[in-house]
Amino acid sequence: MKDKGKLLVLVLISSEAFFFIALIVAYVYYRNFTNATDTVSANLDALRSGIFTLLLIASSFTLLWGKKALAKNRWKTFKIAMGTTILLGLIFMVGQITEYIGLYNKQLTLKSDVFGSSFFTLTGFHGFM
Amino acid sequence: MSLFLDIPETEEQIPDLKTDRGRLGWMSSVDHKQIGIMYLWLALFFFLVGGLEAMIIRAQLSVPNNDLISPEAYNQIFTMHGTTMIFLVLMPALIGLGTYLLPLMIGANEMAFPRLNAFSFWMTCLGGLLLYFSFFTGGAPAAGWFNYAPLSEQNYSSTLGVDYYTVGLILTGMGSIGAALNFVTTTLTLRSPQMKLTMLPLFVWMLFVNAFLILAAFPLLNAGLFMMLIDRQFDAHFFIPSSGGSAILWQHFFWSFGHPEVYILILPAFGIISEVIPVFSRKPIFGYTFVAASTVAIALLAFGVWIHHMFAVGMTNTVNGFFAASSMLIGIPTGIKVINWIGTMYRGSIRFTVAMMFCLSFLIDFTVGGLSGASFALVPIDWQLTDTYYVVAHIHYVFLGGTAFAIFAGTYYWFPKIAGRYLSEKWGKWHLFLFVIGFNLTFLLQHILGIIGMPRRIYTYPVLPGWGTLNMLSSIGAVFMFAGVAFFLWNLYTTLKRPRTATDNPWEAWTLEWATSSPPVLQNFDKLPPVHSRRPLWDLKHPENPDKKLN
Repeated sequence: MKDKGKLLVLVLISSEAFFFIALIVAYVYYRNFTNATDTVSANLDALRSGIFTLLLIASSFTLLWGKKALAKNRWKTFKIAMGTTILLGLIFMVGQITEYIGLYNKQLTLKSDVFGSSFFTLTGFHGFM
Repeated sequence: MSLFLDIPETEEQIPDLKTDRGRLGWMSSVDHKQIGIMYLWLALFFFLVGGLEAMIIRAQLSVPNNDLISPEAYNQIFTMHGTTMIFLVLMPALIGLGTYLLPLMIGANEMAFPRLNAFSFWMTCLGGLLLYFSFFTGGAPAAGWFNYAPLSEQNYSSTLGVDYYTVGLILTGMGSIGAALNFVTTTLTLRSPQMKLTMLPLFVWMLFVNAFLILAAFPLLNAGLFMMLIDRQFDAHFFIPSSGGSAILWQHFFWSFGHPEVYILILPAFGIISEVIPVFSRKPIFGYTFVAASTVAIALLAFGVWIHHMFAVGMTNTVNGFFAASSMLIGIPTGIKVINWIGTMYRGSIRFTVAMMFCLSFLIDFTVGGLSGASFALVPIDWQLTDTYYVVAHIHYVFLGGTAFAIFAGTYYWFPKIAGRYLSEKWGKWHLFLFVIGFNLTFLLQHILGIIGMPRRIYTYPVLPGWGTLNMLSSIGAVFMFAGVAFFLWNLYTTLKRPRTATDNPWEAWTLEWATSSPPVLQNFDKLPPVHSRRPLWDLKHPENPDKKLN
C-alpha cells in the first residue's frame, strides 16, 4: 500500500478494536462467568438505541459523500454532506445522553453495580471518544 | 541505469545543544534521529533511577531481619523498580534504537509520520514523569508492577500512587502505540524502491513484526488501566470482588497484555543480536528465512500463552493443560533462533569486540532464562515455584541477561554511527565483565533461594540455613553490576568529550545505515546505493563476489 495515510488509519483502527474488545470481554465475563444477574440489559430500549445506531451508521455514508464532493471541488454538496454528518452525530449523542439520564433516574449508575460500571464505561468510551 | 538513485535533499547537521537555539531545536524536533537519541537518554536516565532502586532492595535484603528502610517504602521501591525498568527503560531503549535506525536501515530520510513520532516520545516522557510525581503526592504505587486487584483498589491502596501508575502507564502505552504505527507505516511505504520485504535487515523485520504485537497488546492494558482508574476515582466495581467485580479479570487483562509484552521486549533484542553477530563473525546470518519466520511464529503464539502466569489461580485442568502446551511450543521458534546465531558464528572469523561479547553473554544467559521459563510452563513446577525468587531470577535472566545485554551490544555497535565517536573498548570490557559476572552472581543464586522457599517481594527474612549467605552474595553481585554501570557512564562521558573520528562504516557492516556519514546529517541520504540483496554494502564493496540477487 503506497498511501501512508490510509494505511495509518487502517492500522490505528485495528489497534483501537483491541481496546473495545477488552471492554466487551469484561461485560461478557460478568454476564456469563459470574453469578450476578444483568441489571442493565432489562432496562434498555433496544429499538430506540437501534434507530439511533442506524443514524450513526448513516453518518459515515454522508461523510464519504462529502469526501467525494470535496475531491471534485463541489463545495456546496460538501457543505451539505458535512452538515448532515455533524447533525447525525449530534442526534446520536443526544440519544445517548437522554438514555443515560433515563438510566440514572432508575438508579442505574456507574456506581450501582458491576453492570452499571461496565455499561457506562463501554458506551461512554464509544460515544465520547 | 545509474549507480545511485538521486534524492533531492539539502545537507545540514543535527543542531548542537550548545548553540543559540539548540535546546529549542531538540525539543521541537520531528527528526527521527534526534527523537531516537532523546529516547535513549530517557532510557538511560530511568535505568539509573531504577538501578538505584534495585540497590536499595538488595541492601535491605543483604542480611536477615534487616530494617534499613520501612516496609512501606520497600513496597513502593520494588513496585517502582519493576515498572520503571519495563516501561521506562527497556521500552524506550528499544523504541529509541528503532526510531533512530529503522529509517536509516531501509534507506528512508524520515519516519512516515514525523510529528506522530515526536508525540510518541513526549507521551512516554510525560508518563514517566507522572509516575515518579507520585512520590510527592503521599506515596508511589506499592502493589507490585502488575498491580493485582483488589490490593490495588481504593480499600487497600488509599494513596494516589496507583492512580499515577494507571495514568502514567496509559500515557506511555499511547506513546508505544504511536511508535508502533510509525514502524509499520514507515516499513511499508518508505523503503528504498529496490528493497523488497524479503530483503529487510533482520532488526527492521523484528521491529515490524513487533509493532503488530504492540498494536494488539497495549490497548488491552490501556482498557484494563482505564477500568482500574474508573474503579478508584468514580467508585465503579470492575475488579472489586466484594461488590460483584472480578479480581481475576484484572489478571486476565494484565497478562493478556503482559505476556505479549515479554515478546515485545525480546523481539527487537533478537533483531539487534541478528545484526551484530553476523558483522562480527564476518558471515551473513545463517538461515535468514528461519530467523524471520520464527519471529512471526513467536508473535502469533504470544497471545495464546498468558494463562501460564495464572496457573496458581485455580483454573480447570483443561485450561492449564492447554496453556502449558502452548507455552512449551514457544520454545521451538526461540530455540531455532539460538541455533541460527550459533550457526552464524560457526567457522566465522570472529572479532571479539565489546558488542560481540555482549551478544555472547546474551546467548548464554538468555538461554538459561529461556530454560527456567520452560520450567514454568510445567504446571506442577509452577505451583511449587510461583511467587518465589525463582521467578525473580527467571525474569531477570530474560529481561536483563536477554534484552538489556542486547541493548548494550547495540549501543556499542551503533554508537560510532549515532555519536561519530568510538566508545572505549578498554572501559567497555570493564563494563562487560563486571556487569556479566555481577549479573550471574546476583541472579543465578536466586534460583536456589526460590527453590528453598524464599518468597518474592518479601520485606525481610528470619535467620534460616543458607538464606543469609545466598542473599549476601546476591547483593555483592549487585555491587559488581553497579560498578559496571559506573564504568559505562565514565566511558560515555569521556567518549562524548572527544572529537568526532568515526568513519562511515567502521565495522565493515553491510546494511544501509553505514552508507551515511557518522553521524548522519539531518537529511539521511542524498543518494542511495543500489539494493539487490540483504547486504547492499557488501555488494558495493565486492562487485566481483556479490550476494545472490533477490530483485
